[in-house]
Amino acid sequence: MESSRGRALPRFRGFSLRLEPRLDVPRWLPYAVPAASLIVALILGMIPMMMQGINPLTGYRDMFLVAFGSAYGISETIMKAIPLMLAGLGVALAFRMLVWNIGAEGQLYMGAFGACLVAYTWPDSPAWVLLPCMMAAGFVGGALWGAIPGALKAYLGVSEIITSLMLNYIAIQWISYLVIGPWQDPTSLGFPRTTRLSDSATLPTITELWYLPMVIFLAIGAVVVLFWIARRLDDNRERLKLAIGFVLLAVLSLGGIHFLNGRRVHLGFVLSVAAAAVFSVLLSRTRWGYEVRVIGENARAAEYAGMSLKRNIILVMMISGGMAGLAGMSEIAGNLHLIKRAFSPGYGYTAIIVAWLAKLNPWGVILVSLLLGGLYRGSDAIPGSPKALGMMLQALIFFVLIGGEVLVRYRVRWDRGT
Amino acid sequence: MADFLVFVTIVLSAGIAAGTPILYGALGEIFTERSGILNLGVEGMMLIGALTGIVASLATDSVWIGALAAMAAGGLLSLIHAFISITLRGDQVVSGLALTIFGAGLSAFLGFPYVNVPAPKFATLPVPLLERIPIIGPIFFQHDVTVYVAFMLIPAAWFWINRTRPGLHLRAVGENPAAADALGVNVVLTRYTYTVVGGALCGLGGAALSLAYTPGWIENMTTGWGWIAVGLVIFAAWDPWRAAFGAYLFGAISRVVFDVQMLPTAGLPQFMKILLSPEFLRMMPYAAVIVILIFASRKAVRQRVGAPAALGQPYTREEAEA
Repeated sequence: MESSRGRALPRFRGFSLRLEPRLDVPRWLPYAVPAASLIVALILGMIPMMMQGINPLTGYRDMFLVAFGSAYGISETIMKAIPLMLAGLGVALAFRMLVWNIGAEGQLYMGAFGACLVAYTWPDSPAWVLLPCMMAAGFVGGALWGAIPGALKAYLGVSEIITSLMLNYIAIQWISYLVIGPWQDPTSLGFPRTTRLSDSATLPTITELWYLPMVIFLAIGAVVVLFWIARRLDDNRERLKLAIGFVLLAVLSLGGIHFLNGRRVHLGFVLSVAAAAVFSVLLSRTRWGYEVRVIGENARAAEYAGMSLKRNIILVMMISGGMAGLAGMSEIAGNLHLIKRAFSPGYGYTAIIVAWLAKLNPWGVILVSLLLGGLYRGSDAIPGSPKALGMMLQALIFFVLIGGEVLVRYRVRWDRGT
Repeated sequence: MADFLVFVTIVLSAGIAAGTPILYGALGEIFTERSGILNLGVEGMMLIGALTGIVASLATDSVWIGALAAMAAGGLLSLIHAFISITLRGDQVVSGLALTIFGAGLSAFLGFPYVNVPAPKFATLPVPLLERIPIIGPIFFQHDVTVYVAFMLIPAAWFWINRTRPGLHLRAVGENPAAADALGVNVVLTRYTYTVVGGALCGLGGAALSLAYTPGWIENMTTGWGWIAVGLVIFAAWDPWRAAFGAYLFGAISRVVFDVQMLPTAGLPQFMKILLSPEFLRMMPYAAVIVILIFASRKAVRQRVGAPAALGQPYTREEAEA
């Protein structure tokens, strides 16, 4: 046994590298690895920065200050993070089932299309009717776009990786057609963009007006939480977790309103956090969430247990696409207020990185999105090629993390001699 | 009739020119996947190859060195994927995705100063005598060197995979690594080798794009062609000849799309005008990939021609013994 393990990997002169499966994983390790990956990736990222004539140390400092150094910076970082959160939640759900939805970018565009179709058809209806309809239309737009690769995978066995990616290019061309064709703003002097959305079609920003509804919401929530703590939970640890969670929610939401008052951050942020809560409950507390996890771990066993793979593949692709569609809706209705050609700087692709960095955990998606949103925002600080710097650093983090994850599962041994 | 013949000749000739970068990517991916490693990073490696080709040929004034440097860059990138998926036994799908995103980001970042810089290119080099053959000559023998190299690579790849001893080892490793290991084939070394060979070919494909077909560097200039190459490998059932057919077909589609744009649309009904708008025509190659994959899947189910049996699965001896 011992000798066979030693031969499992190539032997270079004098020493060999061995991977031994870990019998027990230290508790801190799964958290230390992503953090260490981040640092290693940022160090590796210095090489291309220096090749481009940028001083990496001042570069990183500037990026950090622009992204997180001021209240304005943080609110702009959140703006970049909102589409990442929504799309990342969807991608993470699909990846849980090992359905490789890499079409979030296209689904995001189709969601924006669906939402705007509603907004331009009934521009004058009141916001409380129009906005939910736009959200539903955005979700449906992305869900239908995600259903295509899902159905092809489920019924014909066509690789969803390639079809979902091809659909990205098709969706982007479709939006390009709209913004220089039927939807082009006649006053834009030929610029490829649509007319501005009506006021009732834009998502409200977070202001002091939200204090009262938030306090009422928290008061109702407090009653529910107290009821659960007193009557429904029997484990003290669970009780403590719920109580701490609620206090955290109250402090963060009221503090958040104070902090974000009068800035550009919009309802989409609240929507994303609520969606993370829904996904977290869905995955860990419901029968369907259990099915998704079992299928992801062992599809054959799940099928023997009577779970429908076909139905779940299509359903997961639709929800995943729908979340990306919602991201497109919130980006249009909350941030841009019109559609431009290629309005997304690769949010759908970054969502893949977000999902993986977050270990497919919904709350992790929120945190990682803020971090990667900071990279998008921060790369604006560096003159030269702004968008690409953020993308490159994100991909580097992704790469290092994949390699680093091995450390969680295996113990690496260097053997000298034979 | 004569006009039509000229049109077909032009489309086929341009299709071969446009299909060449895709073909390099597809051939590289065939080698890699035949050894059991799924590398979805073709797009990223092609982008890095395209940029490296430009930078190296600008620096040395030689497109040949540019192409070689592109191969080296592609091979180097694929080495990362090989290390993660073979040595570290990581998830090959995720690692390949990371490679594509990384290649796109890195090439866009480093290529920023090279956007729209006039760059050297492979000159058109008609083959003497052969180019004079009517129809065949213009279609096949009035191209640049990258196209001819691809011509030679198709039978060479087929012969290597199906008729040589190393090719037999390659297939064995992809189909049943445990059996190949028992017969004394070095599974790890074989997989490393063909992943790097595949990466080098993808890099060359990128150079064929940036130094020959559409000379110069633009951010994300491959526009999904690397992914089309990955799709073609499935369509081609891992066979170089069918991959060549598919790649040239896609080249021709993207060329027809370009020609149809020039047609007068005055008398046509409204929906035809919409379908003939540049945006819809640009969707066609991507839609065609999906349609072709659907047909390929039907055929694969019927004939049971499939992927290498061990595709995407890491190999360790412990698991094989258990």
